[in-house]
Amino acid sequence: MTETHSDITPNPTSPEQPENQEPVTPASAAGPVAPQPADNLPEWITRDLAEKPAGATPEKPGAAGWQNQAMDRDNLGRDETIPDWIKNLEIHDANRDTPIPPDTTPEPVDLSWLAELESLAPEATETIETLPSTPQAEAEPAQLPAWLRQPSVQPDERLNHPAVPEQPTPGESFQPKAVEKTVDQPVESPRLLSDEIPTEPLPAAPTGQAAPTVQAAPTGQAALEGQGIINQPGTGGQNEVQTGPLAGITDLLPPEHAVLQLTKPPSYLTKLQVPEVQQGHIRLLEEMVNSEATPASPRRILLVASQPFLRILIAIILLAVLFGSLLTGFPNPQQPAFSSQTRAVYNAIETAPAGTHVLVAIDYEPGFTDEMEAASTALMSQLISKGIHLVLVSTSPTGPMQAKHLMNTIQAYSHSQLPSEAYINLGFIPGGAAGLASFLQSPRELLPLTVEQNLAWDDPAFSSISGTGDFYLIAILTEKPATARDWVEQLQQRPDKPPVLMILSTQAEPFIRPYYEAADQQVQYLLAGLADGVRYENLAGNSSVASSYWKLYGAGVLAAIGLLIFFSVLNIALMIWAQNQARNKNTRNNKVGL
Amino acid sequence: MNITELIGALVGIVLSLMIFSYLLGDNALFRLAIHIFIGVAAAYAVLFAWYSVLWPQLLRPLLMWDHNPANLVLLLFPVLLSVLLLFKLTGRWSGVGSPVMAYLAGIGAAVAIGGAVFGTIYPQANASVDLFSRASLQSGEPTVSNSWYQWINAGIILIGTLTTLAFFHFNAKPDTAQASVRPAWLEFFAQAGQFFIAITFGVIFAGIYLAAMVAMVERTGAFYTTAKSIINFFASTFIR
Repeated sequence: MTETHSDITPNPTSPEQPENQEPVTPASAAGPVAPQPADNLPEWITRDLAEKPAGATPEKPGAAGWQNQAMDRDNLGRDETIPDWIKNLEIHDANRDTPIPPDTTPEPVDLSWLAELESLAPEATETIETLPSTPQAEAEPAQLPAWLRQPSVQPDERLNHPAVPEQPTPGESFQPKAVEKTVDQPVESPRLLSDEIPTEPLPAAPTGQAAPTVQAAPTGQAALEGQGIINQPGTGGQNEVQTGPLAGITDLLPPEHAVLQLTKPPSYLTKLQVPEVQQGHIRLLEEMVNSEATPASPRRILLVASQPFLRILIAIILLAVLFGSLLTGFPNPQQPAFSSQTRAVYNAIETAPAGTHVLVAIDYEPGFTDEMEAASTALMSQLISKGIHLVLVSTSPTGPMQAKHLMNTIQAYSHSQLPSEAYINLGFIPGGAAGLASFLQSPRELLPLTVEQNLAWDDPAFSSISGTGDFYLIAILTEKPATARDWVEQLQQRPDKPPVLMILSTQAEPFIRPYYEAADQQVQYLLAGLADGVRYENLAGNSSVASSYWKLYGAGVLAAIGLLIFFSVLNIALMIWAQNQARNKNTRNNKVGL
Repeated sequence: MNITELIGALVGIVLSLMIFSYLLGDNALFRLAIHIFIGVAAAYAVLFAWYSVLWPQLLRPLLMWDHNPANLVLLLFPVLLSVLLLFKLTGRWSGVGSPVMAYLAGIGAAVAIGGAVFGTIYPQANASVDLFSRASLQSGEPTVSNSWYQWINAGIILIGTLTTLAFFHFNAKPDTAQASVRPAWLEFFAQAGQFFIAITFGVIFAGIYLAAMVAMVERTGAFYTTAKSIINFFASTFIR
């Protein structure tokens, strides 16, 4: 049914098309091929025709020439293997006069445009019947195709054809039916069929695919008039066809040209074609979203007691141990062992010439004052006693107050007034790492005043300092790894970088130790925590803050270790007990079940 | 101990007891002590910023201008930036302060990134590689045990570095069945890295505990010393 094919231009890349179906080129599937002169035929066709025996299969009256050729090739030497569809074709040809029942239930199609089309060309079919009488047809009778000589089908018979032809099953050729229906069209000419219009049966519209629609179907005649294919009435031939084998036929409305003017909206697949990887991602996302909505089952924890009770119990134990140690003097822990690391610091201070300068960064918070002063008091006392001038700065707002407290502590333990030229407190370096970099580049310009608002660099003891390289040593006291890292990183970029001494809290030591233990040391000296403070006091022979804490510290650490071991053993015992309980319960349940 | 020191010690003991009351749970005494500390710290920071930064480094040089126009420009420029920065406090005109914020953020990022690259990443990576250098392995006393120690130490550091990096490698292919999984070899290294990370966290926890223990020791000693001072004070005052 060419009308249907032309009205609804099929999608050549339709996914519903059977895979084993050979692609039909528009030229080959366009129906009957117009006979051409032998001179114009290709060599392979002429050779084929020459080899064709005289008694070959006769041309079927209703089949096109190309189909007869194809059938001839199929019948060469294997007539006994004629496919069933060809036999069916012959049966259909024999029963041509009877209407062809549709293979599928025809869908209701709005064919009003066809009636309108026929109203525009009311004498089309009659003209076909009188075609042999036209002068051009009489002059070239041999060039008329066989299908053109067949009696035409009445328009109402054509209307009985299904709107959508039957979808061929895989492996079954669909061409016979297409040809059969094509040859029924008396108004169709091979040359009028455009190569751009595939004529294979349109497969049924797949689910999820937008069905093509027909728009402005009956407007073809006006378009044909505009293209000059047919003339206007009264301009020479009363809608006479000017080109093609039907040239000279009047009032003929070739339907395919009207179809050329049809437009249809593009069809889009509504089903997403998602690759497998993206499908996996979709599943993961769905799992994540679903798991967010699912409440997590609370972990079953075997509690020895309530958390507040344990907290109070541990506090009481620790306080009891500490106060007991204060009252009884027990235990008396050993002094920390000798450390080459501490010895290196001591030697560096001892060999420092008097009158040199040491930059001291006080960068710890008030909560760590005790530990940091315990670790640094003996060293600072040694520096001051050696006649070394200290320049105190801080990158923390509370640092200047901590520096003042540290100097007071040193003065308290030394039992003497510190000399005025012993140190200057420059205060706070604003700006974080950027301010620190600026200070290391030009300390005089960035901090010209002391905390007491005096001119810092006017003092003769400090007037010789112009840059970072003028310091004998830079000591950094901090409990924050980030602050220590800032100092190391900014000092690393200074070509005149002096040696760096880090006095750290025990919580920051693991982060800074790699800078100290590297082959190319970025930190040359390191003291960490109370233990190194005690070691240094022992080396310097100056028992002060650290030594006063050491006894209680030992008792507290001993109590903490005892608590850790006790509760670890208790947890293991409770876990084993719970497992035994569960095993016994399962055993009893099994016995009851038996 | 005079009366002033005694009052100061008593205030310290009371505040310490208020903090210790958290052992009984969150309560009004604990919150009062926290609020006192926060208020004092904030007030101190404001006053210190004025006396240590704003007045000596921003305003006083402007008031003590030496009538040199070039210096005036240099002095007014930070004042102008500071005033523009104040517009960030307003909702409508906060965009006026955005260039200053961009300037600060850009400078801070440049300094931090430069310091991290040239002060930490490159030197530490170089130090890890140097552990296997001939000079590093032959450092110290040239004994067989020392050489083996250097090799083992370098190997542990190398394995710890690689496996820890593998643990933080989260690139996983989605499994078509259920969840995304890392490759098997990467998962093995990640598990080993988890072991090193656990050791690191244990060391850090121990350090934090020891630092806190020093503070508790100091407070315990302060209790004891203050109590003994109060007893001595009253004994010397009333028993006399």
